[in-house]
Amino acid sequence: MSVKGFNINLNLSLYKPFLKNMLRQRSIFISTFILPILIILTTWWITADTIMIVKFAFDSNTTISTDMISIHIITGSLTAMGITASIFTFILVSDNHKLSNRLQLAGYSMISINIGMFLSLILVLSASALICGSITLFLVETKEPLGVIISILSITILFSAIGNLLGWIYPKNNEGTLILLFYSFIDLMYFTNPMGLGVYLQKWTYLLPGFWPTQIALTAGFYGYSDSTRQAVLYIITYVLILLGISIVLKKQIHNIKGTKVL
Amino acid sequence: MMISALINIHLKYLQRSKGIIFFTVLSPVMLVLTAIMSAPEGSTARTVLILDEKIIDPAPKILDLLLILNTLTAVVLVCSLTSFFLYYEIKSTIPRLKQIGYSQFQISSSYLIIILVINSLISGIMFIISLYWVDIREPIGYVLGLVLTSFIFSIIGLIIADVVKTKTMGLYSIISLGILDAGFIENPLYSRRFDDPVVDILPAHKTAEVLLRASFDTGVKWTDGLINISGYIIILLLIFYFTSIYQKKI
Repeated sequence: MSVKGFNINLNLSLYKPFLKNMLRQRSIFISTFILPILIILTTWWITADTIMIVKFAFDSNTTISTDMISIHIITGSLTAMGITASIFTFILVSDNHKLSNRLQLAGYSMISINIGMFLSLILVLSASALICGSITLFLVETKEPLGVIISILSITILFSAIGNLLGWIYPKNNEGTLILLFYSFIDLMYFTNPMGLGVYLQKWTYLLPGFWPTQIALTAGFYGYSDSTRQAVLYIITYVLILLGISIVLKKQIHNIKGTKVL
Repeated sequence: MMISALINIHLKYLQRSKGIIFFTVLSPVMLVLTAIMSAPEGSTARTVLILDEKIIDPAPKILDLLLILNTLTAVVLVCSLTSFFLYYEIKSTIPRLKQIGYSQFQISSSYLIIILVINSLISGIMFIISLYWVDIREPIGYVLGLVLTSFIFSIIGLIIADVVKTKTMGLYSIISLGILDAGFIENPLYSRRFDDPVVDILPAHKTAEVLLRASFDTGVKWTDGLINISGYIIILLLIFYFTSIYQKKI
């Protein structure tokens, strides 16, 4: 089936060979655990034992004072997974450009290749996210543990989609890694984090990808269940779909302009 | 003469990826601007800071402290990643360079010279940006602290690029070390361990002390830590030299 030049034959089974290819190189799989585990444990070991006041976007009238260590462990795990997911996805997508061009010549649609590769990456990163979430829950007493796990998984998927987008449209390892590292760090450590006191909860930060997952995590951790959590999950799913759509459309445009290189 | 030929080869590689030059400047500037935006209550909030067992008086502005430490983090991350990529992408050519007559000493020296130039440029730019917002007591100490930190982390980037098998493994190791050491542990605003003897062995510790002593009056001269930093650099250079000797032959 073709819509305005787009071949939209969706073949989801393509994720299997991508997944097998990744799992064959065990060191790549293990590397996804390095950053989250180190950041969570170090944050727990070093953070100053002081009280911090937190506000929530879901309920702006509520203020909770809690220990800085708990907040930093939760936001640290989100940051670590955000950086890990975005850079990991970016590197693998940009390294697989020639492979995807060959698959296109073999008859697979751009959507199948993009979604297949993205699914395989999400499956690998989810293992890391679950372990990261388990360590977080072991170190911090939270009100809704499931909410914390959902937020860590959603940040993994969301930042993976950002890495995926950059990997398709700007496949240069050095530059892309720097962009993603600094962007994830700034977004998750300052703009959407209670640590960035001057900008936290300003209206424009609601548009940043790290905002809603951070809010879900903080609400689930220190406030309890909120009806707005479902709404936030919907925002995140929409964000991911938009990013995937943009990556497919832009890749198609680049492909039309530059043509296919398979050698 | 032979080293200059090698430097030309590395420079050509850098020229091919022009985008990296743009982002090595843009990324640290972004991080510094973030510090300015996220500092609480504009630029006037102050915090109690104890350095070298002395309470800093007058209390430093949080904005100044955030700017200095974000500059350190930015320089560390950019320099270590640049040297990692530079070496990782070209390391497969080293056995060939050896076969046509270059010694390991010449190859390693050429990398170090290139990296020292890049580090000095990035540190210089970050120093000029910092000067605009922070009133630094000892500018020479500050810029030297930045150059030394970037050099230490660049050598670590080279060592990791030499040792690791996959790119992702190396990248995550460098990013973890950079963010944790320069971004968290050495930051007195968030860390309770920044003056703990255990963190003395971390690469950014002594240079962060030089930066803070050059910025605030702690009663200790900023030059006091230079011998330790020199020792640290010599040890890292030796490790880099010996790891690179054991390169696999083609």
